[in-house]
Amino acid sequence: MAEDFDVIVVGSGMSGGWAAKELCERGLKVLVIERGRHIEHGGPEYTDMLQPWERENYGLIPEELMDHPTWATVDYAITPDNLKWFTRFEDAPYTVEDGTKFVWVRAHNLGGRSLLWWRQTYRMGPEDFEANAKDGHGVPWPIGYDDMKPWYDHVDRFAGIAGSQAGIPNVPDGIFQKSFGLTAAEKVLKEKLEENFPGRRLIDGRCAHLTQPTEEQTALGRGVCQKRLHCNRGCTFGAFFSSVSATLPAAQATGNLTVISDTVVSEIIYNAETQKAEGVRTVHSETRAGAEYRAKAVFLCASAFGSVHVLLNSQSEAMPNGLGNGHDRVGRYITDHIVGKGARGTILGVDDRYYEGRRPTGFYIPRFRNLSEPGDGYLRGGAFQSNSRRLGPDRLANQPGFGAQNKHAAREPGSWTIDLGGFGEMLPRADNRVTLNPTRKDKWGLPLLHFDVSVSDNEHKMGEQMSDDAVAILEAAGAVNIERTGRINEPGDRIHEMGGAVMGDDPTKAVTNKFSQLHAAKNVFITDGSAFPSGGCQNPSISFMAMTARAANNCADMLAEGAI
Amino acid sequence: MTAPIKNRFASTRRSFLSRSSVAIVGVLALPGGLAGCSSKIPPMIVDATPVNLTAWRFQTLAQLSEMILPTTDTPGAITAGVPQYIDGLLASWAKPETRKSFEAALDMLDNVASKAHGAEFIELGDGAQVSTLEAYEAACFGKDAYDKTDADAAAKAGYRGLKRVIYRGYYHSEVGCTQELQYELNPGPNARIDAPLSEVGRSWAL
Ligand SMILES: Cc1cc2nc3c(=O)[nH]c(=O)nc-3n(C[C@H](O)[C@H](O)[C@H](O)COP(=O)(O)OP(=O)(O)OC[C@H]3O[C@@H](n4cnc5c(N)ncnc54)[C@H](O)[C@@H]3O)c2cc1C
Repeated sequence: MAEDFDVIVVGSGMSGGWAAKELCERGLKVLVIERGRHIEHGGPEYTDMLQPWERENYGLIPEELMDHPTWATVDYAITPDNLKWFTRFEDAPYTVEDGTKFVWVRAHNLGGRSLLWWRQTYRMGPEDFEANAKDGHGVPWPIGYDDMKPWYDHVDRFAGIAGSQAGIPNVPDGIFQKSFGLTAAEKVLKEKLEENFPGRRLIDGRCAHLTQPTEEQTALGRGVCQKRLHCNRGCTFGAFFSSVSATLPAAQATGNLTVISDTVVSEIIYNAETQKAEGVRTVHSETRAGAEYRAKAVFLCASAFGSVHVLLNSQSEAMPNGLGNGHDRVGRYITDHIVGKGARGTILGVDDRYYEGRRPTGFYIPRFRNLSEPGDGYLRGGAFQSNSRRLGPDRLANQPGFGAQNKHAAREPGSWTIDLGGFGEMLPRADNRVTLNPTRKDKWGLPLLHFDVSVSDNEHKMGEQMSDDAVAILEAAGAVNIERTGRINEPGDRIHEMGGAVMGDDPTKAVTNKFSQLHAAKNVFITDGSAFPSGGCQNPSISFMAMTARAANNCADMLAEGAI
Repeated sequence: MTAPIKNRFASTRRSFLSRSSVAIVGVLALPGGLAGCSSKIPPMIVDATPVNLTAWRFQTLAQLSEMILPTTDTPGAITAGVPQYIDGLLASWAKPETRKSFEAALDMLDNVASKAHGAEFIELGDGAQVSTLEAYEAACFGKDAYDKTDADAAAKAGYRGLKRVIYRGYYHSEVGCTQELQYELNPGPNARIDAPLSEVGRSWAL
């Protein structure tokens, strides 16, 4: 059978972009199939050069839109500029089990959510890869930090990560470009935290922004970060990492890449005789026309549940429950992060300090619970990821007062405020799962995904202690006006979803093996969050990228050796 | 989104005058009723035509905005285009409840003025306007302002929302960003994350 391509990559987001780049650079002919529309880097959808007064409604989103179910719980992430990149619920619906909630945030467009992300990048550490084996929750990881380290390094070098070396074991250092640094208030918090709580650390936020572009980055047209924080409008400078600014152009430059957009991969074509995939079937997003594409290997990078959806839909006589799902493990062990409750306070003593520009990151207090300090009756833990700022003129809008004196008061920045909030790990549980809805279909004729996911007591206890910890940390820094903030979120709305096709050595429990190959079809690789048996509490994308780069290079080796 | 109720009557003072009899009929026919003063000719605070607010409310809003963020050594809310910004928001941003609450807030300001001084807010002299606005703000931000059973609860909440968009309109405007405070579109790689306030100077608008 003649193949059209060496490898088909499903999805062009954070993971798919890396698969395309690595495979193309290894000399393979790659077809990327993206269900959403084409986006031109620096093209008309980018609005980062508009002045504040040139923006529609000065940046307010119509109130009625914010009541929309797609956005109601992720309002924190939405701006008028990026609204167009969030997929609307009614355009791609899903269902949830009665009595549960799940927020599935997607960006069906070239680049996926790499256009929307907040670019925070922390490696998972050795303890994270060992957690499942140690406490018995979820499927044990088949690989450890040492397997991932070279690929994290590889991603750092190409993507460009700003950060500072800190020597913290479970948030390992990387190859960093110059860090953005801390504000005066954060320096106070750091000093008091480290003095009062030995073992706890406060470090500069690490983020995928160029501060010292390399030759390779400059050659791709990427430039240094201008500290604008217009990231959610697209970055014409290509200073933050996205598929459209970095990996796809690098893949394109090899001459080995073909990208087709507006094309939904509906299933993987499986050959029961060879026990391999032959290619994929697709439906055009607009015309609904069907097509088939053939290749020697398939990379599923459609985002955690996008990939699970394709697997579950790939039903054949040999695999009636979906590809690789003979053991009913596809769709299980769904996790997101929980947002621990936090606290907010005013930092005193540095009112003579201020900042210039708009730093595109904040600071990070790595997890200490159940590492250097015990947790109060729960497993694993969370980290604080926060920011500080001096209140702006609008602080005066929320109180009585008017006139010249008030107007002139706003010329002085307001007090320093720190909001301590963070992400906590969700325990992997087999009954947190996603299945196909037996009756309802989408407009492409595919069954809807049905979510049955909830947070457990473990997460609630973790959240409570994060709140207490936040208050204690602020108190230690002498903060005033301390208020508790936050709530335990709906699963999914932290947009760090993982699981569904988790990797593991035991083919009766896991879906993929330690090389990211489907146990049931060795030329199918799943490298996005679906393959993660647990998710630590670190923002996951850098781990998806490293996992994808690793799998792509393994795949290239296997193809060269004729092993798949 | 529901179609905005366009004020067909007011554009400039002259066109308002020539059509004022139509205005009275039109206003009375609107559901929910509007402030009685809509049929009167408002003093011209800003020479602009509202698209969504009645002329009266628009001029009241202009006066209110300018009192909150007045012209000093830098231009005030009117020069910054705040009244037009908010008039536009009523159709392009506000939900019907928000729009109603903003209108109720402007009407309540007139009620407070009438009770104390026997005239609508924009008809008052400077001193009476200041004392009216003080009393009004005290009511809108006071302890009881959040009591939902209060007949004026929506109007008071409306004022709190209105004040926020007045600030937004001013500090996002070119005047607010470049004359009153400062804003850099592209601060650049050398912008300092920790710098002496004395060297940065004024607050950043955004
Ligand atoms: C507002 C926001 C802030 C975030 N901040 C951070 C952060 O600071 N740090 C961090 O680590 N992560 C962050 N994330 C999460 C991050 O964006 C995701 O982890 C990451 O994009 C996942 O990569 P992916 O390749 O798996 O999926 P995506 O980037 O979503 O890409 C998947 C692609 O596959 C396509 N696709 C799906 N199904 C099909 C199909 N059947 N056929 C063809 N194509 C298909 C989609 O259209 C999409 O383009 C954030 C996300 C959001 C929305």
